[in-house]
Amino acid sequence: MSLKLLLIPVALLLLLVAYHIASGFMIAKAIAAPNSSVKSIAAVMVRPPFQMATPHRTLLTGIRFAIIPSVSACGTVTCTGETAKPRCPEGCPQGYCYCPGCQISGCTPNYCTYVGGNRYCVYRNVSSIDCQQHGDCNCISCEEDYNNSCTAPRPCAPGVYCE
Amino acid sequence: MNQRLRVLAAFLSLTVSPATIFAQRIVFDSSRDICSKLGFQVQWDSESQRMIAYRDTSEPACPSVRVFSSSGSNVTLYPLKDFPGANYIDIWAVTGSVRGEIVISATLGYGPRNTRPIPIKSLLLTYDATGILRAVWDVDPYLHHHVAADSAGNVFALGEKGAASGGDYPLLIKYSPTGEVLGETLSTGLFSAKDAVVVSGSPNGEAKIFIKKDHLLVWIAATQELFTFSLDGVLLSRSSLSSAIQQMVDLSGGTRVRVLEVGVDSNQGIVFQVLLRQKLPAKAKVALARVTPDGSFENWIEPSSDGDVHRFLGLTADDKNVFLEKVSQKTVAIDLNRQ
Repeated sequence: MSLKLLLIPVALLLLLVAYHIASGFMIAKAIAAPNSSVKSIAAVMVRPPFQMATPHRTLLTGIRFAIIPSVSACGTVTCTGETAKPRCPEGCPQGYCYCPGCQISGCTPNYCTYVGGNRYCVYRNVSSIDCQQHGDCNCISCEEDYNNSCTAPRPCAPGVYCE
Repeated sequence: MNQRLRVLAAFLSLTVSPATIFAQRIVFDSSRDICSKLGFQVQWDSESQRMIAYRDTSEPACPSVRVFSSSGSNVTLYPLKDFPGANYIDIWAVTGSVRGEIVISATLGYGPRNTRPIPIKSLLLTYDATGILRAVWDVDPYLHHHVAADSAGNVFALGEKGAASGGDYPLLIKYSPTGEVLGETLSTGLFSAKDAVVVSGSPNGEAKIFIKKDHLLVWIAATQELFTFSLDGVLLSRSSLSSAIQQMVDLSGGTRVRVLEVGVDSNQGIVFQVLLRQKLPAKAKVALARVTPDGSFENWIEPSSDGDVHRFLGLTADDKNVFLEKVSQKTVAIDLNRQ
C-alpha cells in the first residue's frame, strides 16, 4: 500500500518531466529545418542557440501536425498557396518602390508570393485600367495595387480541415 | 581663465556641432551593395528613431535588413545565415524597439523559389542591438504582415491565417517577450473583407501598426479606419477617416485617394501622405494632409504636386515630419532637422 502511494507522485513527476521534454522537443522540431535528424533537434533542444517558442501550438497540436500533415483546400478553386507581397522594383532608389519611374505617384508592385496554406493569389492583367489611365504601362510586369484579386475565393470547403 | 574657456567653447562648437548636425542626417548609401537585384523597402521607426531597410533574399551573404540610427550606429542583419538549409527568406515586416532590438516577421522557404509546394516556416525573429539572433518564434498558422514592439519587449503583430479555420479569428496578437500569447483582438468579424484587410493590395493603401505615447495604433487602409488600443490590448477608439479622405478627393478635384503613409502625433492629430488620382488626362498628385483627432480634414501641410516629391515616412518622437530624400540613384537620406 505504502509502495503504491510512493509510486503515484513518482509517476506524476516522471510524467511532468516527459511532458517538459516532449514540449521542448516539439518546439525545437518546429524551429529546425524540415527533415532535420532527431539527433540534431535534440542537440538544439539541449543547448538552444536562441530562445524558441511556438505560441500558437500546444504539445498535442504539434504531435498531430507531425503525424498528420495539414492539407489545403479552397472549395471549388485550387489553392495557389500565395499571397500578395510588395517588393521593390530593380533599379529604384532604396525605399522608392513604385512604378513607373520609381515615383511615388506610381503604383506599388505586388507579387504573388508562396507562403503555403489555404491562400489564393493571381496576377492581374498587365493592361489594367489604372495603368492605361496613368501612362507608361511597361513597368507593370507585376501585379499592382488596383483591384487586386489576391483575396478570393474563400473559405475552405465544408468539412475539410485546413491549416 | 575665462578667455581660455571661451576658446575651448569655440573649439568644441566648431568640432562637435558638425558631427551633431551630421548625426541628424541618416544616410543609406547602397552603391557598394553587390547583391542589389531587389531594392530595399524603407520605413521609419518612430519609437527607436531609426531608419529600417529590408528586402527578400536567396543569398545568405546578402543582407536582408539594415538599420540606421540617428546616433550613427548601424546594424546589418543576415537572417538567412542563421537558418542553414533554408533556400530563401521573405521579409514581411520589421520593427525596432526602444531597447534596441529588431523584430522581423519572415517566411523561410525550404526549396527552390519557383517550386511548390515546399515547406515554409512563418517566424518572428528578434535580434539584439548588436545583430545577434536572440529569439525565434514559429507563429504558424499566422503570417504576420505588420509588427510593432513596446518598451517592455512585448510584440504586437497583425496577421492572417489564410482562411484557416473558416470562422472569425483575431488579426492582432500580443506576444510576451518570451513568445507567449498575451492577448488576441481585432476579429475578422469586424470587417466585411475579413482577413483580406491586412493583406497587401487594397486600392486604399496598406495597413500599418505602430506605437505612439503608450498607445498601439492600427491603421486599416481597406476600411479607412484608425483603431487605438492601450498596450494591454484594450480597444480605446475606432475612428473612421473616410469622410476626411473624401474631403481630400473633393478639394483636389480628384477621383479617389490612396493613403501612402500615415503618422499620428502626440495630440492624436493624423498626418497622411496621399496619392490623389485625377481625372484624365491629368497625372496623379501627391500631397501631405493633416486630419484632426475627431476625423475631420484640417489642412494641406504640403500642397499637391504631380512632380517627383519626397516620401513621407512618419513622425519623430517629438512630432517632426520625416521624409526620405533621394540623394542619388543609390543613396537616400533622412534629414531629421527638416520641418
